[in-house]
Amino acid sequence: MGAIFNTRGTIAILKFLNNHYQPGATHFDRARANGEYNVLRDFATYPDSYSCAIQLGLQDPTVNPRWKRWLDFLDAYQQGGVSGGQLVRLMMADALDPVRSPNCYGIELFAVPSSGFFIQNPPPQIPDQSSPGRYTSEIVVETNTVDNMASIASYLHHK
Amino acid sequence: MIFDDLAAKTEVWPAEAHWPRRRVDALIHRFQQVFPDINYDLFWETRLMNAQAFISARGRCVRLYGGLGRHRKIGIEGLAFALAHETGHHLGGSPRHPFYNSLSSERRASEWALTTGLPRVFSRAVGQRYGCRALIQLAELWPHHLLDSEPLEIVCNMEVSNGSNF
Repeated sequence: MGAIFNTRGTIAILKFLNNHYQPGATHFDRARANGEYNVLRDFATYPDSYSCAIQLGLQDPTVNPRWKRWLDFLDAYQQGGVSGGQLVRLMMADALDPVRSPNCYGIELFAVPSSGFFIQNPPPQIPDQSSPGRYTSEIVVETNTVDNMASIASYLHHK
Repeated sequence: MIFDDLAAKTEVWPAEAHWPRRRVDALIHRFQQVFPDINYDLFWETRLMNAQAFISARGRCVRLYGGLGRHRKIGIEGLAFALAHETGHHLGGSPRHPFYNSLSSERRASEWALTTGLPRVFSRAVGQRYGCRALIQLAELWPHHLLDSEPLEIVCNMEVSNGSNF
């Protein structure tokens, strides 16, 4: 995540997320070929982000409780009338979709601690230095930390 | 990061304390002047003990979190190194981060911080002194810190070759 300290849990989450969608034949290209954009857009079968993540293999038993907790918070947030989880899934699906984004060749996900909730939409693009026209899609989600969100939720619940 | 635990309240200065905030503001201002293409900011109220490089609609960004900025055991050297390390993720070049093609690796970010970032912000002699002290401070705070010993060897070898002491 480009952080000064990297805990085992954070690394585990980053590993399965960014390994899955980084440039390469066995990563992003395979996810695209497998039509993962259809799973990401299927809100009827996978209404919450965690069930969608499990279906796509974006999980690790050692960190799943914390991962689910964060995704549930993400689903609960709204931006522009859409839940945060849905917005991120739609952005990932668009990046993977070869018709919508034929020149996208990878996705990088940044979870950025912040005092507020914000998703960069449309996602910034980083051009490929070795192949003009191609780019990676940067999906940036700013939220509070899991612990802070949990304490805020608990405070509101008890109020 | 978002998934990490927070520093205990007793380990950090209160968010309302003036001098830690002034210290960090001055440091960020200094980095911003030297590296104008990087967007530096601060999430002060959190007790998250970290700093981060990321890319947003504003461009390349570095954010320092309050758990590190307000930590009682971290001096200006540790904070300066943290900012330089994060800047190194953006400006350090190859090798790239294993998960982020747009960022330099952890080791490269630390090397860049010690050999380029800190010297540019503080002058060579002060930058080297800050680098060595910072690594000791951060290692004490985080015994399992992923910075391996190589960056420390780089800066200490530079000190030896310059004949300076700490």
